[in-house]
Amino acid sequence: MWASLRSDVEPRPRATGRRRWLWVLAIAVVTLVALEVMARLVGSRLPDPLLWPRYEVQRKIDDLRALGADGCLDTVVLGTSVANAALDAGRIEESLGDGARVYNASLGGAGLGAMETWADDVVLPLACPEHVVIGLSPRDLNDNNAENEFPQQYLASLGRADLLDEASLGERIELAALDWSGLVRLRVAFRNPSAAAAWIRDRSGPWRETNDDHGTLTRFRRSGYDASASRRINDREVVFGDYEVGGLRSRELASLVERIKETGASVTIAMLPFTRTETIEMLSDGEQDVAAYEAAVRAVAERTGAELIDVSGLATERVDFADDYHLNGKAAATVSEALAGQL
Amino acid sequence: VTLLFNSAQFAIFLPVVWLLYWRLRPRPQLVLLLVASYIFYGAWDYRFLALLIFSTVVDYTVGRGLARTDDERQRRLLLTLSLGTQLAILGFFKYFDFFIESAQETLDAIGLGTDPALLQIILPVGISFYTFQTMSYTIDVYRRHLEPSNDLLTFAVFVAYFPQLVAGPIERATRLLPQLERPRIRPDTDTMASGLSLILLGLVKKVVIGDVLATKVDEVFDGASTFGWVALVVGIYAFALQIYADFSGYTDIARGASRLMGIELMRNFEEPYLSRSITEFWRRWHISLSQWLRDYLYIPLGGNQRGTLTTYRNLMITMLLGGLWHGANWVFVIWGGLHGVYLCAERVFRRTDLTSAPLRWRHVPAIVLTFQLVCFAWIFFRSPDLSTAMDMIEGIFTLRPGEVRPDTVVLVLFFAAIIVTIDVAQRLTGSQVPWMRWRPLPVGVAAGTAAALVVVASGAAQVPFIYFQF
Repeated sequence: MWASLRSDVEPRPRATGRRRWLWVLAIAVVTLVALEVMARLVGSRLPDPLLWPRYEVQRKIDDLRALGADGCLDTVVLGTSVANAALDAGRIEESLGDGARVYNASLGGAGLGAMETWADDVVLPLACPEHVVIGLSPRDLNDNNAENEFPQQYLASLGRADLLDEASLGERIELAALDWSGLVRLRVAFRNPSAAAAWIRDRSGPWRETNDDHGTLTRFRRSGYDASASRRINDREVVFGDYEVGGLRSRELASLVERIKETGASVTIAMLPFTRTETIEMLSDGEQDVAAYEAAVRAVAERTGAELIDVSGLATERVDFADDYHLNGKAAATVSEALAGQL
Repeated sequence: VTLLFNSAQFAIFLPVVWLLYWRLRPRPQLVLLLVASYIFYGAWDYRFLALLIFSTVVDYTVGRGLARTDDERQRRLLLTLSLGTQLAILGFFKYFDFFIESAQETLDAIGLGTDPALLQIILPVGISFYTFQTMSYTIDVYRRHLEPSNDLLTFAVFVAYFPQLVAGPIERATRLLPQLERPRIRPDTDTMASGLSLILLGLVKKVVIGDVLATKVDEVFDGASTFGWVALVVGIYAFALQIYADFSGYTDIARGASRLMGIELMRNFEEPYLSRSITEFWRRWHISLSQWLRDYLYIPLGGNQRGTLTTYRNLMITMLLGGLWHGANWVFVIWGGLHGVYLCAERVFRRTDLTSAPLRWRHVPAIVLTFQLVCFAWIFFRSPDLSTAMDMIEGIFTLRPGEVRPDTVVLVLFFAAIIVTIDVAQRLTGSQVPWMRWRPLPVGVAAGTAAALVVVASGAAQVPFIYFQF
């Protein structure tokens, strides 16, 4: 089957001398400079370079820095996109009154483990909150939830390395280059060309993901989520697959509570609304799994001394939700006011 | 700190080694290469340096032993000692847990459940490459195709030479040892330029094409059960481009870096996706491994000299073991088996070997068909397990509906165009660096653009080369 190779040593190039290569080098440098100039021209129309897994993270850090500069916050919300959509920090502020300052620091896709890292790295040092609300839904407590893309991206992000002053040599070079090179700033657009084109055309696309002043991701209110059939299949297999509670995730939740309490802040665990029919359909043991979830949350709250508020009964029908998981604006307002009333 | 070819650390390491290297005489040059190679390897995990050194000492000693005796029984004993040691190292670190787990699954299936002790062994980087390289040395010495090395320093550099240590090419001692034994000639400007352009080409392939496609490929294979069939097909094409760009990019950088040291490494890829048959594909893909398998496995089994059925058997054994070489997972065995079936089928239906024939337009259908077959086999190679591979295949063949991400399509088409252009230029000129003959203006513009692309595409998180895991 095998024959000898045609050649494994290529023909030697024609001798051309040093002068030719100096020309090549000079032209290469001129080309590079020209491309850099062009990149700067185009770059002014593109979004800022992304140092974190998503712009949502970057924006929330900027918000927390600005808010923290005016003193510690009264209440901060932690959780995933479910908590982000369900708890309207503006409404909670209004309901609490007395100039209370509240911010929703939830991150889409953050598991409980990543939530503690996020709290440790950013939320607790920047916001020094007096009170923290951890918003939960059944997906957060599944020990076999295999969705871990965001935590990995978060841990490996350039922004985190910079924030913690743990950047490697390559990362330091890149951070410096981001300040002065238009080519380096083009990186995000290069990896998402059609999204970049959409941005230039009408300033839409993933880079428009942005928060209101209280941390809520406004995109959720406007356009809803991906509620496609494929998303449901994925969630059934990955997020709710082999639903089991009381192990790893419960330990992570307890650890998060303890970590927050170490800073002197008090903690409330909020059981948030979820679509009963759709969620139960995705769980292998349906109602039993929901009961197990509720028992596991109660057990952690009891063990750690965290306050427990159950607002899950305030919205259970699909009509209250933007998709299978996230409350719509109207229901979120109701839930937020109810939660504030119990804080 | 790891010294990946695409890291800032390596961008400092290589020039420092190069500057020192050409200030030294030949013997101290070898000392420097050995120290640099051990630093390079130890940067991943210094604990496994001992394994590398042990492997070196065993085969050097066996080589000396083979030189001292003509007694066939003793020679066979020495060969067995060497091969046994290398295969034991490979077997323990790479396959121990795999065989235990497979045995457990078999016992479970017949109702004899067990709870075996898995060792969770860490795989030393590059172990498959350097063990195969040293095994080829011992076998060549045993066959009297090669005079054994009588210098431990030179032999140690042969085993550990950093440009090709962790992912090949799997060099033959007959090629590499003579280059280490005689004084190297300092490269002239043209050779330096060709070496540097190979490094730049490799970086473009790896950083611009391979790493950018990696995220798209990961998305598709992670969601194999949910994506529609068009997205799955695009994802497989993306992987075909990614693995070629990644692995051949590594080889280009290795060859370029080595050329700067005055040492030529073999070509490991010769435009494989322009192949007109699977047989031709295997003459152009991972050439150093396929030649190794040919010389030390396929031919000793009898090759194609003992009848048709034996030839098919030999092909299947060779390809199955070639698959297993890539990793301790059934998906690699199936990938190798599929290629074995392809090769056998070609022997049944096709007699003309086009490997040396020039490219013609009429070959396009054969090239396209070969590429589809290769891509089908890549499904198994890339899938982390059999169920993912079956999800991919089911999604494609049932025409599962679903959206396709335009970004991925745009990038796959763009990178496919780049790769085809480079490969066609290489094929037509017979050179891996065809631009060496161009005028300065297009070469300079191409080099500047390539450098700009590397800057744009590189990111803080360095993606390791795929073949490092093997």
